[in-house]
Amino acid sequence: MVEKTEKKWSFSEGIFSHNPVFAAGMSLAPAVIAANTLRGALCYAAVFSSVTLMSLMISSFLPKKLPYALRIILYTFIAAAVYIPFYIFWSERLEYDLSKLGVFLPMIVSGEFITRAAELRFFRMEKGRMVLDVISHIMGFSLAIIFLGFVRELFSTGGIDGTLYGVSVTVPLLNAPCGGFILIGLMGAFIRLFRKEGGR
Amino acid sequence: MNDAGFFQGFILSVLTSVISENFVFARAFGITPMIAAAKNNRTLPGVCLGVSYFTLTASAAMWAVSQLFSAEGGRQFLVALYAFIVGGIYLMTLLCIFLFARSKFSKIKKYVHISAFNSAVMGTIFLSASGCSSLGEYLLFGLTAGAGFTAASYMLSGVYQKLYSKDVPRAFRGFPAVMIFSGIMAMAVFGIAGHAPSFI
Repeated sequence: MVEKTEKKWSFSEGIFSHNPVFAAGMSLAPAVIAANTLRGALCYAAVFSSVTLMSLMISSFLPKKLPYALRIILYTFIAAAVYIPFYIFWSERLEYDLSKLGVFLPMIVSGEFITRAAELRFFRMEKGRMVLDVISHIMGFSLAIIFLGFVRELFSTGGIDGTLYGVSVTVPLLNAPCGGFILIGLMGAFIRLFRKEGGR
Repeated sequence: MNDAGFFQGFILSVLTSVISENFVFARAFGITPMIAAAKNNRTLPGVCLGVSYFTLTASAAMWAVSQLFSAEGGRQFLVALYAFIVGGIYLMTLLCIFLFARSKFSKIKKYVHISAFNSAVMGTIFLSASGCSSLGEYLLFGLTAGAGFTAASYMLSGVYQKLYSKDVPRAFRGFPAVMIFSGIMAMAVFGIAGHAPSFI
């Protein structure tokens, strides 16, 4: 008799071992470019979290009988419809010019959370677990880019938001795309090193 | 402009997009499809061609849209239009493949999906909307974006097997090594251009 072995799910998966940025390599463009200052990363995380969570929750009610191609297009339309009110909401509340995040904010609507992970992971789960898994992955993404924004700003300028914290040796290249790529690679290796299945 | 001047400008634009303002290494657009393309040498030309096709057609569609709507003011509302452009081209492409190459449809459709929904295509749409004015500029931008993506994918495919080989320490093998490789390439690109391109 073949014993069915199902991988155990845990809430921390999306935050650590299956972190969207450092382990799964999702939504890398904003992580590399937009997350080069702490404030920028925090604002991106706020908009991303609200738009992605709401879009995925609404999209999960779409019937599975619809053809795959049509479902993906509807997911992006739903995300675009959700993006507009959230953009207005956050631009009024955040003390940050959201246009500084350039093209990366509107790209949330066609990001990998919406067009790939939704079909390949989230919507294959039962509703309750799906909600927790989406929240866990959004938290994982947000923590990753906040960490990247903090480290890159601190070690490229010697301070955060103009306040210096006594970092004597600065690496200005950390602020550039190459710094983002290398830091993500190092963090990916760090996570591999400490997770159970190490390197698979 | 005479013919010599046109070709000089054209070659210069392509070289700039491939080397100093590479879509992947300088702007971090399209990293996921680049990894997917570089994985298999048999599908590499197809994915590169697919992404180039989508960047070119999306730019052309964006030009048509720009003739009807002004991108000035309320840019956040245009995000729905951008999603509509990508979704429309994606559906039309799938329909054409289904009608004219039905036997290959099931094999090709997943590559069409990878080629359509990625940050390279969305980045092309957003950046062309803010930086181009004539049809020629839009088409050139779409073409050079695809050329940059293709160049990056071929560069990665050259070392892909090595980055995933057992010679690389387990923690760094695969995705982290690809990120560090991209970081080194981005550093070289940054050294040539001397600045990070605009993302707004």
